[in-house]
Amino acid sequence: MLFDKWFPASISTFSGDIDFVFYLIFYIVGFWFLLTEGLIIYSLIRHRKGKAAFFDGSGKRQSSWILIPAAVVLLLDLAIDYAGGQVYDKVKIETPDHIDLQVLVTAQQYGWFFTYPGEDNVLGTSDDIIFDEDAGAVPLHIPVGKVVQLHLKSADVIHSFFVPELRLKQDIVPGRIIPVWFQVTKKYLRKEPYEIACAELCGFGHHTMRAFLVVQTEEEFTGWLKEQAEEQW
Amino acid sequence: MDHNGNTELRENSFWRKYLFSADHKTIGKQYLWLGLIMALVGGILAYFMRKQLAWPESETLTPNVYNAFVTMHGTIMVFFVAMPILLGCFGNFLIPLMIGADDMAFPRLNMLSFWTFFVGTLLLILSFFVPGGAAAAGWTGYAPLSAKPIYTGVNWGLNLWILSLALEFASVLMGGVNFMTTAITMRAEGMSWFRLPLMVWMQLSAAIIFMLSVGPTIAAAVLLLLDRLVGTGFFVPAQGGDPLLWQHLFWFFGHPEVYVVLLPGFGVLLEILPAGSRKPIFGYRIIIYSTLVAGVLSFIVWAHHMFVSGMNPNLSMPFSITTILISVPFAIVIFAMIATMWRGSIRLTTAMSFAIGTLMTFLMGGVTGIFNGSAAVDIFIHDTYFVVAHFHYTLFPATFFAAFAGIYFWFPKMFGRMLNETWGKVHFWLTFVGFNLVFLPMFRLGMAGHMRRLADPTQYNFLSTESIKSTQIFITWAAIGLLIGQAPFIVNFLRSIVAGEVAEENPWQANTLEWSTASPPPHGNFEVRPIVHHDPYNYSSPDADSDWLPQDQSLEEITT
Ligand SMILES: [Cu+2]
Ligand SMILES: [Cu+2]
Repeated sequence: MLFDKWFPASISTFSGDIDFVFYLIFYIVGFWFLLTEGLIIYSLIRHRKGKAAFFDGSGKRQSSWILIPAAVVLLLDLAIDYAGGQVYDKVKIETPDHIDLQVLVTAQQYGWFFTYPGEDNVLGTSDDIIFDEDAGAVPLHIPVGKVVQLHLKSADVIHSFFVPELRLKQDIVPGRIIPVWFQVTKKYLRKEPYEIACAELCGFGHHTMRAFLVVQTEEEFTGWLKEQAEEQW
Repeated sequence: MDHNGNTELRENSFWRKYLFSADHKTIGKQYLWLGLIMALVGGILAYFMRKQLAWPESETLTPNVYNAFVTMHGTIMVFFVAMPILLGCFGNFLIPLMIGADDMAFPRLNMLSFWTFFVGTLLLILSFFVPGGAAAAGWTGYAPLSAKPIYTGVNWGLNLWILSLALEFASVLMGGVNFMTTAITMRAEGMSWFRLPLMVWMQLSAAIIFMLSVGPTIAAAVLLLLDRLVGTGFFVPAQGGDPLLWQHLFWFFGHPEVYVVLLPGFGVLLEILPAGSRKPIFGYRIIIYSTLVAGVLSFIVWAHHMFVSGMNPNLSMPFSITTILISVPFAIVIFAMIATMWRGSIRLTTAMSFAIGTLMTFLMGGVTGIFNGSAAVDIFIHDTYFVVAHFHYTLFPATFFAAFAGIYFWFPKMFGRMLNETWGKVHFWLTFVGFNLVFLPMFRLGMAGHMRRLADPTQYNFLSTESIKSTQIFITWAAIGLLIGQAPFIVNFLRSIVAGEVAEENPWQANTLEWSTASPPPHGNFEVRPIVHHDPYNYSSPDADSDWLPQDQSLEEITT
């Protein structure tokens, strides 16, 4: 598509949907933009000399020149709302019934720390695998094709979890734990890690607040997690 | 209304005349100077930010200073440039003249309003020089980053930032009361509501929107100051506070504030476009009704800044719908402006060029707002350069293109001399081309996911590609060009005040009342109080001999 070169790769089950709404809006507003700019430029070229016409847009007939296009704008607005609403629901409101992996994400000035559930697959139990400051900047590992839910938590100020390729962004508000989910589609499994960015100004180190996202096959992932568990216990 | 009580203020001593003047024209010009000087400050901050972004390895700014500049650039441009020029200058200077009044309803309150603003501006400038530097929590001041000095390392800088904004709000509130009282009670005979120039309608709408929306933010600012000074913790979760409360209270005002700036900008266009096209405004009443609808809607869109904030996600779609729907009244106003030019006899003065330039650039800002307003797309582009590009395409047209249009148009009335048109055109083209070269590429950065407010984007691999880096460098050169492009204006402005061609009463052959008195108008504005016979946009009427018909001239006067 038109902006493939500019958009980051699209790797989640909903990234394509978000791009679709972007393109839908792009073509609708692009039409209005070209039309209005075209009329202005036409008028600038053609309506320069001679006596001006005398009309002031009063009366039904003349006001309909601007009210009918406005009604079309209204209809297109509703179409954009409808399409966008579906996608927003999918990403932010309806969590999938089955979740394969839950990870606790702690953001703090200026780093990301990840906690995995241990064998019981439940967070907050004694077999959790915790990477804290001492562990250094350990990337977020996730298995491809699985539904992952992150529980986002902040230790200090507001941060924002952002992975451009997932088209996923969520502010992290201290005092709350905010869940988000995503599922990386199979075909984008790649070796070099994606980047996790902080998208909300959080202090002087904001621009350094980066982590990596490593997408692995299921076997690789379970193997990695086991290794980490053994190291920690 | 009688102003005998104020005569002692009208004495001609130097101080009373030029400094502590209660004359609305002098106050308007004082706001203009203040706004233009602060625009220079804001522009210089932008220059350093751009230099840092294009060549991070140059370490032009440390991250702390970068964050402070980001914060102060936004604060200055919105609150200390757009507000004083568009409302302070145009509102104060034009409202009494356009309605045929001798001054504002409360001239001394007006003077107090300006000097309150002035002190606020001084505090803001001072905040750069206190230990710890200026506020660095973004112009939106999100808590808890802003609520505790330890999070940013900024202590008094941010306190002063809050205080200076509080003074600014107080000043604009006083101004708003004055605007409203003046327009309601002091209109000349025959100046009915639907004969008011649209500029007055826009100023009034802006003042009312401001007065109704700013309350919650003033409360929030007080709470924030208490958090910082006394440790109350209204916005600090560890103390039972809520960071999202700040965002709701801030944006409840923050979004309407956009229209507070935009509407007077539209007001400038709505005066210049008919005069420059020699045609009546198209759909005068439709424009007023659309503005009122947009004004009401502007109070129920604020949470579009919060689609990914962690508020209840079920709130997003209602706010997304109202946000996208607000495009309808604005589309109507834009269509009406184009229809006003249509089949006119366009005189492409500098003022008219800037007015049309406002329209052409604002359109880009308007249509890209739909992307941000869509909750789904916002998940991706929120807090990226797409947003930065979008709001510069809305606010720059209002704050600079429309303001320049207004300055070129009303300069003769303010200073009694003309600005040089040739240098005006040069200024227009440098600004128009420069602006687009700076901000159009930012959409492309945003579409790559480029976050805003990064002191050094090259910390990220995906922002270190050749394409992204060269775009950043390109933008910086364009920004330098845009800044240099203001030089012709500065020289032209200063030179024309003393040596410009002497202006006649009505150099643009326009209809509104300010053109029916001397340039500049005397104290009390009119030798004889005007009586209004027509609506303000009677251009090229078949009933009149000439292609304009001043509001205070009856047809009989002309034909006999
Ligand atoms: Cu951050
Ligand atoms: Cu808004």
